[in-house]
Amino acid sequence: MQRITKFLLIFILIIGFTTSCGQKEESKNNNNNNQDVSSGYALKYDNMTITPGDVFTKDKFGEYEDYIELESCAFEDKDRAYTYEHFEISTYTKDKQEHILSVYFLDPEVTTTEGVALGDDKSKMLEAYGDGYTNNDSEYEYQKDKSILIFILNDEDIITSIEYRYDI
Amino acid sequence: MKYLNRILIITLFIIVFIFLNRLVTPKYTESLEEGSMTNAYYKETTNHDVIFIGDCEVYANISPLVMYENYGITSYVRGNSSQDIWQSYYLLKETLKYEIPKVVVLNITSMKNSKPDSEPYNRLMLDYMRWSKEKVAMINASMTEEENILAYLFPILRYHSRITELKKEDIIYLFQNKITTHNGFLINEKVKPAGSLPAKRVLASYDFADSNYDYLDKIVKLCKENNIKLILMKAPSLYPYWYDEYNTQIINYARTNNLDYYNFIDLVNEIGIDFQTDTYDGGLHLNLNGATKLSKYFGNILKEKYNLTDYRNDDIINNVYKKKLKAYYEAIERK
Repeated sequence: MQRITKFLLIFILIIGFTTSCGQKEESKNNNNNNQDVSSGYALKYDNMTITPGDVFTKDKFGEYEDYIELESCAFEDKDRAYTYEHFEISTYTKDKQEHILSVYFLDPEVTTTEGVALGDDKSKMLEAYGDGYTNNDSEYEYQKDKSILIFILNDEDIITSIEYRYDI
Repeated sequence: MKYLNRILIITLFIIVFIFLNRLVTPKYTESLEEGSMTNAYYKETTNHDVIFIGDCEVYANISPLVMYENYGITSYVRGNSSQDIWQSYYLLKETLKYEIPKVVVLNITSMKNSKPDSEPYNRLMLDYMRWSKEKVAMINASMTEEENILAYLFPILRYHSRITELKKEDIIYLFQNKITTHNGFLINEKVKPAGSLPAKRVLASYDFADSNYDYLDKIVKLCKENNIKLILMKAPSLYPYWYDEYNTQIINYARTNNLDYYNFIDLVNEIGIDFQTDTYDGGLHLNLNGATKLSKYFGNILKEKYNLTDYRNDDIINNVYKKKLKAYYEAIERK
């Protein structure tokens, strides 16, 4: 009888332990999500600083040209994208607030804070950011804290895509 | 007496534990109906000639009851939100334990996803899947880094916090889930016209992952072994973008493996789909109107080209489908 009680108690403790571990993990992740914002790569454009992970407010970066809202397959969260003259800002929702998920360059009229634009070649990227990238196919990622700057190059080593992204 | 007490305590513990697990698991009835799709299949009483497998692009776009009403084709959609190719494989494997259809139609949008999407989507699909070696294999293939198979075995590990947030549906559907789909089709009659879409991004690579091809190969093999005609389809949608490079890979794969492939994006005009009226989310999925058009169009192809039986002359099947059609139109009426 005592053995059974012991077994049941141990079982309940294991369940409780696993459960509380999950909660701690969740709260740890939440804390992580709150730190490092504003300390990574950010786009400086027209006297504004656009930092992945920062709270996004509609009037913060002037008037956008287009707004796109796409629902997810099942859940209530939505993908939102704001199109400005030279880039597109995508957002995600956390704690009922919109945060900047990515800034995607639409044309060569805008440059990264360090002066790299679409159409530049690989050497300009290396000159500005060095060789501390991670590379997958033709994609080059530079990460500073939770902010990732991503370049995609074509076969001629010309930059065809630039994106700032928040590492959720 | 001592022995009896032990048995009693253990039995009581097991009953309470099972009850708690069941109580806290979401019922996917009043909200998140997408979580009830895997389970609904087990309630089917007759076999199907066609099984549609894939993600939301099948359960939103293909209405088996429209196909039955117009062509007498019996079919079922085994689709879930964000269903990945490895999940489609294991779900097909599970399906073949219950029935061997003549045709399997696989929506191939998920070939572009190489990693598990997210834990909440896994739960929608897996929470009410019956335990089998296919389910275990699917969990192992689908888990994100933070997940643990124990949380699937004992849902209370995952949903314990719901104990204070239980809703009425958690009690009403404690022992019996409500069927919210119609042969796997989820009715959505809303209209949200297509407008602007996000920029079409340049990708570093357009190649599907090798692991996805492995699962596609497995699906092909499974169908061959069971003498099933496999058809590949891409549902009509405006977004997420179905790049030409994706399409070319599927065309080549279909040619190599002697499969038919229907890319309905190229056929929207012929089908009569108007993304101003036939979509509920701006061009990602078709609404009821759009799904009806596509199902009539595709049903005709299936009937003509694959020589499927018209069951409208079969009294037993027709009686089952008469009831299904009645429930279908009543559900549409209620929406």
